[in-house]
Parts: sequence; structure tokens; C-alpha cells
Amino acid sequence: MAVKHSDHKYIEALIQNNARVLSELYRKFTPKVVRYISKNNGDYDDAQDIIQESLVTIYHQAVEKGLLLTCPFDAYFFLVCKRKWLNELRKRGRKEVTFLDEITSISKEEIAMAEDTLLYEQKSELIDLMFTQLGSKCQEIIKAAFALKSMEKVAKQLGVTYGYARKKKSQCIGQLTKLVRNAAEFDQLKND
Amino acid sequence: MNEEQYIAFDAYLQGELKGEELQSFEHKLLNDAGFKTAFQDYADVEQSLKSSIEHASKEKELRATLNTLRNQEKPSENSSVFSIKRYVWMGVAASVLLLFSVYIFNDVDPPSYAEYAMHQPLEVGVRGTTNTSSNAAEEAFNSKDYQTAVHELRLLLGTSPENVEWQLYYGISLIETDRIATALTILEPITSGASVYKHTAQWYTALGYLKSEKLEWCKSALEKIPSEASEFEKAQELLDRL
Repeated sequence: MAVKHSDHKYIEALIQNNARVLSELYRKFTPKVVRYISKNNGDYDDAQDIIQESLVTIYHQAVEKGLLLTCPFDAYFFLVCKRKWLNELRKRGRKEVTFLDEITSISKEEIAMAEDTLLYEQKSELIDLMFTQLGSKCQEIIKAAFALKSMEKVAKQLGVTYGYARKKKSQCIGQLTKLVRNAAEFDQLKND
Repeated sequence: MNEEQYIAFDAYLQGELKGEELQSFEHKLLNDAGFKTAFQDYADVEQSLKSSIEHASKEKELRATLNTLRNQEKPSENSSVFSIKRYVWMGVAASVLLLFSVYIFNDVDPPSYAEYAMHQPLEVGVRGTTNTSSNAAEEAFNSKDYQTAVHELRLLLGTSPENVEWQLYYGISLIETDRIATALTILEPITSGASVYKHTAQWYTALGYLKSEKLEWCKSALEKIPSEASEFEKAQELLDRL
């Protein structure tokens, strides 16, 4: 049985948008990330972008998947930011500078939690990306379905019958599922 | 995968299957591995979309809080010795400026980045298609929300790193948000490439230097803009003023 770590309060602060606890999070955990990125082909603003994107990812993982922090936040957060920055460097066509991190002892659990978060992010990004590949009708009906939360309202808004709206929504999500699966398989092939 | 199956997935997730239908659906889930995978993939995608759409406005609020915190831990740039030096220089600069403004008129105001920072609007959306990211990038850039533009363009470039137009606008947005060193590394390959954005990228390289007050570098960047470029005239004008 996984035990909730006391640092789980930072995850809760993200969910509740608690500025006081988030300010503590920034004070305790972000300087390390800034130093790492500054030494590694980036600047202060790059670091702040990476920090914000990492926190937003963690937020989404928490509300969607009920992320439960079972290890200290420090090394977990650092690993998430670090991996994100290395991806960003690759996108910019820059090389990583290798040196010893400040964090020397990282437990298996921290690595596993960070990997979970990054995997979650990868999946969500892929879904969001493939969503943009859908036809505009499909995008419209999916957005309306989850924003309005009632297919009767969706049908009314889009001026179609309830039956058609239901059918179309499931088809569109099905189509997206197919796109995501194909893209994931394609990525896997590329990585081999 | 047939349409009927998607309809069944949806009905199951909505808790609408009853009696025999429900039994046969669950029986299939337990005994047909292919069916199970197909359903799980479908359910994952649905859950992800649902969550991101439902939490979009909360995410915005969270980002607003995070934006207020982003400079909280910014190390101060100068030690006290430096700041004294700086004050002296600021004093000198202020008195020089005062002298100039007393004796000479507007003409001698040094050229500023803001005077030249007029960007062509970004138009990425192909008519008739809807691409959320490119629309968001376009909207952010054209409404001068460069922080968001940086973010959206970065997402776009993640999927199409070769798109020179997006690279250019990414560079401009980085200049606008004072990440000039990064901007220059993005613009550099465009200036030495063969695209139609070559000279525009050269012009923005110069503006990057202007904004960071590296005027000699700015001049030499401007000198590289050839007479056939549409930026030639303003480049010459800026050179004269420098």
C-alpha cells in the first residue's frame, strides 16, 4: 500500500491554487532547477518556463489520475524539470552539458514517480496533438460534449439530433484513439 | 474498428448498458484481449480529453498564480559595489541626457527597439482547417501576448522543427520577452539559410542587438542586409541614426 508523503501538500496546493504554499514551493525547490538550467545552455527565463510547465503537468496528472506523492518532492520535481529541459535542448538542436547534479542520492521511487509524470505528459501531449488533426466538426463536438456535460445541450447547440450527436461523439473519439495509437506505434518504431 | 463498437464503448462509459447487454459487454472485456485493449485505449483518450477540457479554466487560474511567483527567487543582479558604480553611471547618463535635451532637439534621441518593433502579423492557419495550437500561437502573437506566443510556438516547433516561419516568429517572441541570447541562436540558422525569411531574420538579429544595446553588433548585423531585401531601407535608416 503506497503511503502518502507529507510533501503531498505541494500537489494539493497545485490543485487548490494555494498561493501561500506554492510560494513556499518556489522558495524551496526552484533555485536548484534554475542553477541546473543556467549551467546547461539555458537562462533564468528558460528555467522559469520549464518550472511552470512541469507544475502544470503535475497539476493535470493530479486532477486526472489522482497522483499520490509517495516520496519527497525535491528530487522528483528536479528530475521532471531536468528531463523536460533535456528534451527542450534537443528541440533547439543544442547539446547537453554533462556535469554532476546537485542531487546526489535519488531513490528508485523518486525516479519511478518522475517517469510516471513524464510518461503522463507524453501521452497527453500526443492526444492533444492528434486532436488537432481531427476534422473541425469532430473537434467541435468533443469540446462541446465535455464543456456542456450533457449531450442534449450539445445536440441543441450544434443543431443536430440527440442520437446523431451521441453517435458522432463516439465516432470522433474512436477516430482520435486510432490516430493516437498509430502515432504511438510510429514513435516506438523511430526509437528502436 | 467499427462504429457500433465505439457506440457501445460510449454507452458503457456512460453507465447506460443494462441487463444482457452489460453482461455480454463485460464478458467480452474479460475474455477478448483485443477488445479489452481497444476499449482501454478509447477510455484513456476520452478521460484525457475530458479532464483537459474540464480543467482548462482552472489551469488558467493556476498559471496566473505561477506567473506572479516566477520572479520571486530571481537572484539580484548586482552586489553593492556594482550598484554604486551603476548609480554613478546612471547619474552621468542622466546628466548627459539632460544636457542633450536642453541644447539639442528630438533628433538625437538614440534609436530604440520599440520604434522598430513593428511585426508582420503571424498567419499560420490555413483557411478551413482548425489547428488549435497554430491558432493559439497566431492569436497570442498578434495580440502581443508574447509570453504565450513563446509557449505555443514552442509546442508547434516540437512537432514541426523544420518550419522556418514558426522559427522566425519564435525568435521574435523571444526578443519581445527579453530572451535575446536564445532568440539569436534561433535566428542564426535562418539568416544563413536559403528561405524567404533569411533577410527578415537578419533584421531581427539586428533588433535583438539593438534591444540589448549592443550597438556595434547591431550595426554589423544591419550591414549584412542587401539592397534587394525589403528591410533594406529601414536598415539603412537605423544605420544612419546609429
